[in-house]
Amino acid sequence: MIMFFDKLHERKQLLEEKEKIAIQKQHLKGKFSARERLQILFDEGTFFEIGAFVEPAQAEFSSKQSNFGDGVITGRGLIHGKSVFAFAQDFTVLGGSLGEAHGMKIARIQEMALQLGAPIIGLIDSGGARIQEGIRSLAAYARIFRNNVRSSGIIPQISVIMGPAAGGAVYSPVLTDFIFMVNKTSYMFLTGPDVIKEVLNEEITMEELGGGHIHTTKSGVAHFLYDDEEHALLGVRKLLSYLPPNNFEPLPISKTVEYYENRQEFLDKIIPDDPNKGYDVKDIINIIMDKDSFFEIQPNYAPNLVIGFARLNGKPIGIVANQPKVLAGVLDIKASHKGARFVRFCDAFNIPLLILEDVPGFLPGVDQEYNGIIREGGKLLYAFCEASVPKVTVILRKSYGGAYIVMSSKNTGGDFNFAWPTAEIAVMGPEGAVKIVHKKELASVENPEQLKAQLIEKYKREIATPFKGEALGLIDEVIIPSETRRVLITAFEILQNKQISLPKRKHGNIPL
Amino acid sequence: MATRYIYKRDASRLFIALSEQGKKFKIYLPQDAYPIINDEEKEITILESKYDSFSFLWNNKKYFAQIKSKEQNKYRVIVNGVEYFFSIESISSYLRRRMLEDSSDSKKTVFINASIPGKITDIFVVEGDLVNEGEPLFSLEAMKMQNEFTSPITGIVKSIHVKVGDNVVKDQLILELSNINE
Amino acid sequence: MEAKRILIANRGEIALRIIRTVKKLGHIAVVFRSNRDKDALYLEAADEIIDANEGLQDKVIFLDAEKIIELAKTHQIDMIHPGYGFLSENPDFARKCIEAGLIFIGPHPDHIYKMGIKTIAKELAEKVGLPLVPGSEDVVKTVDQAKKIARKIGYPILLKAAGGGGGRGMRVVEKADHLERYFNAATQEALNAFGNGDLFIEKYIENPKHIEVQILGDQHGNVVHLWERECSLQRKHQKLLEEAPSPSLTDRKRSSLGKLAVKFAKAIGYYSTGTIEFIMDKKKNLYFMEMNTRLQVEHPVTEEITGLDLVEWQIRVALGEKLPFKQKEIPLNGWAIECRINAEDPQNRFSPETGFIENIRFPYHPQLRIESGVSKGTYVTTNFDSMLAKLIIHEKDRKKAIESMLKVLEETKIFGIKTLVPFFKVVLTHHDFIKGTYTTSWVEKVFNTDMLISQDDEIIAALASSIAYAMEYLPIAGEKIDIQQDNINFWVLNKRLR
Repeated sequence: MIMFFDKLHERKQLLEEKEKIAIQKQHLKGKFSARERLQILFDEGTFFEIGAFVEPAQAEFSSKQSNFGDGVITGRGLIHGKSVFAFAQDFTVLGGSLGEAHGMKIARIQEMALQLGAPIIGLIDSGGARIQEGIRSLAAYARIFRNNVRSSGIIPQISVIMGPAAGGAVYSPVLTDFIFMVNKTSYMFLTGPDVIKEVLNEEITMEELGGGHIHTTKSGVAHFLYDDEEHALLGVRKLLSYLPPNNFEPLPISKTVEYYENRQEFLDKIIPDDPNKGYDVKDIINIIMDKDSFFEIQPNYAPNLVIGFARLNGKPIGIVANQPKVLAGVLDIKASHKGARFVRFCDAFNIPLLILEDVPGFLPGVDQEYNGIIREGGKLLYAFCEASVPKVTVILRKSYGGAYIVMSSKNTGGDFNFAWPTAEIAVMGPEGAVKIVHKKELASVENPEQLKAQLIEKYKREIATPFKGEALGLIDEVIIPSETRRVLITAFEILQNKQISLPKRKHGNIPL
Repeated sequence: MATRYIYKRDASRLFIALSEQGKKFKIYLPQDAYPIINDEEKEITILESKYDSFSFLWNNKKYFAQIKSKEQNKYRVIVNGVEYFFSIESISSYLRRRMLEDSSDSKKTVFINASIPGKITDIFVVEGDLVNEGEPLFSLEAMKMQNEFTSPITGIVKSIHVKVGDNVVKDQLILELSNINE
Repeated sequence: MEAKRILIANRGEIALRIIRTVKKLGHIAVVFRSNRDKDALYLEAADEIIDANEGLQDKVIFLDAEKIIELAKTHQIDMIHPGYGFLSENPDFARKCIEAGLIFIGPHPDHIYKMGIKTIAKELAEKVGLPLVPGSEDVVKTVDQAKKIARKIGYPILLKAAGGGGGRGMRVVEKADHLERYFNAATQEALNAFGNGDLFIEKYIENPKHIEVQILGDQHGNVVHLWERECSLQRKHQKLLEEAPSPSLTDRKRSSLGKLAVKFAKAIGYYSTGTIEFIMDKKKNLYFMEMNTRLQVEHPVTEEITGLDLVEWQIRVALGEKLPFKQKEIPLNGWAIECRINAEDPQNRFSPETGFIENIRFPYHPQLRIESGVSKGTYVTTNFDSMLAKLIIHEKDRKKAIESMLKVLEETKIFGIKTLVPFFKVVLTHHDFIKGTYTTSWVEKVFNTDMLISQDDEIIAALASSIAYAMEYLPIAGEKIDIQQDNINFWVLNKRLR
């Protein structure tokens, strides 16, 4: 019996030593060790490791004692008292490369998370597939990716890129729901700078090719960028506070509710008189929603569409809002698929949607057309139509043509559609409309500018006015802006038990 | 009447507030005692904290601080009408930041191109200006809307390639910035 | 005297200020409500409001001469006060008012016209013997001509475009050998900008001070001066702070300047209020610049030191009253300083601020006069100029005035947007201002944003940020947050189980 205790004691010491070395190595690069990251991520003392002593599959690696664990720490802990699974790759062991054992550990933890209906977080810091293990390494990846897909829409899956993620390693994160990156020390790319240099003779650094900045502004692959690891992990904790543990259980609500009582009246004046002037829709979001509850997603990608979570009277809501101060709030390719993915995520996890609309239309241009704005816009339309969560729309100002339809209009399935008195809902903007409809009249008159101005006023009063929509029942009510919060709380409260059942089908065919 | 705040872990009570100019304030917030700033105890009492504002009493003088904006760990605070910018670090994130600044591999020159075609209506900077990340550089009129373009980095305006009134095409080079973090 | 219906065709703090005097005199104050400024403060103070109802494409009412007069007629208005800015110096508007049978509270339209054209004003000034900035009589055609004139006047000289302003076609020439090059460059630039490459020459006054004299005349030929004001604290030709009297004049200089101003006004037959602007060079020489025929923004400082209500006298003069006082009866009591509290960010190139005024509190001070056009809840936009309020201090001497103004600025609290309040604190504690040696280039050349930072305030800011950070992140990092899972509803459960 005593010799077993010795062995256990020896292992404990090994773990401590290994951790010391890991900390040293990682800190030199400005990074935390895998274990430290897990400590920051989970509530203190709640992390329970699974598979700490699994050895690498290949003998040449398993012979070295420090390689136990095969470069990944997997386990379960509590975040705000709720069960969450995680795996953290350890760059100090074989470069965090994924071998068969490493892959199996991750796959096991994914399967456990799915069985128990708990979220899973992946802390990625890996050199990629382990070349020496060849096809076994790739097969291990494949199993992980399959698990990602099987769990998709059932448990929240979050990836935090905390180092390199190259080649096949990026597929798992991209299949998950949200990707966090850490500035300057994390990278994602399919083929690295070396290969690019060899094949195409183009020089580019890792940061420029796939750093955090690139993926949160250019490619839109990542959703959050933090300046350091600590805040990135705290961000994960914050994100989880808006999400249910799985798609079956109800949403977490906040017990205390605070909001800017004294600022509600600002909403009455916040829309500029000049229709060509922009404003920041986030100001409106911050006034209507609970104080400091707005958590923006992908703020720097397609900034003309704002998405994120917030709380209304303590309950989480997904927000999709046009941003008039960027590109006039138009919908373009990037904004369309940014919005579509978010809407589908909220739908999967039963998070109600609030749509704040001020959109003059889709961005025109050869560029947009050649790159498939038709298909991309179709994604957003499909996502809204498909979503069976409560959907409440408030039209703040402009809402023209196809964009009006796409942004969860009444007949696409919007549950409540409100409008502010400043709303203008029409097939097209007054300038364009008047020119087309009254072309003959304007051509025949001496002073067309004056007539045009009159006709524009008439158009706004009679055709584009939201009261017209109200009369037709397509707008439920034209509301006073300063009452918006009160109205929305009631609207979502009415809709809280909404459930839809459709005839069975495997799944639809969203234009991808 | 002092406000009580909740602190779970000891190390988490120590913060480093870094100002825009790189000035460092070491701030330790003990549970029921005066804050210790740069290793000196300062007899500052919190009188009230509401929404995003705080009022303090220090040497028999009242101070009022309003958090104008916050993003992750970066705060803009207004005291007596003047705006101060701080990024708050805990010890580890501060050390990490220091470590990384010594070995940055970001490119020296940042090119700012027009992301949409339009007419330049305003240029807010001149060559040689030091601009902050997020500060407006120029505005462009497109689709009858004014679009303001802000700086992606903190740097120096190296050269401006257009003038007010110019019509620019998509991706046209508007100006160049020198990244000073190199 | 029966009560007159007086229409104030203006807004903001000046509308409020004029309403005050109109009511004091027992007249009826009528104002416009503009669609661009629907909740303005001045509306509450007026006796009657006329809705202007401008359409989105229309001009704002204060610039719409025809509409103003039309509405004035239909509302039985007797007199119109144009305030400052807008149409106050538009001779056509003044003329149309008179033709429509209304009394225009201001000078004769001819004077508005003449003083509006700088060259005519300068010609008249010269005739009366006012000192002018030395310069070319006319357009300078050739480089040689330019060289001759420049040699006579003395360098540095300023080449100015005859066809327009805004700095285009303008060059400062320091030395004779630069002249040819700059002459050609300026000509080309002026040609490109205005289609007219003509230039004239003026002596370049470096870092001038700006001193103006307030005069008041009646329709019976009596004119007095009400001392001078110094408005040298400017930025991009916009005045920020004014004081009366000027710290740069001796008593003798003051009197002679005032006499000169009166002489000019009398010579052209001027009546109502007017301001004659001078610039002063390093050697304390004064030169006539122009005459403004409107009531100026900074008139309160003159009112404080003389004890006269200028708006009252504008109204009385317009009604044909005679000035009951002589020049020697005009007192000069103490010292007054005015700070224009603009919604501008001194930390960011004085860019205009927009947003809601969440709270605005001015302290009480017996020597403080506040002219404010905004209140808590006002939404500041770029529709109109950025001036929120004026703070005017009147004390027995300059030192005390500076001290009191600083105290007032210290206790002024404006939340929601940034203003120039911290900027003025820097100005009033700077030795250039205290010594009175500041010039119109001070803001550009001396002021820098570091001056705004206060050590103690910075510590408070750092502390506040840290506490905010702790309050936000520690709960997230801590075990318990205020979130709990909602209860499951059976209807929903039923559907989900299927």
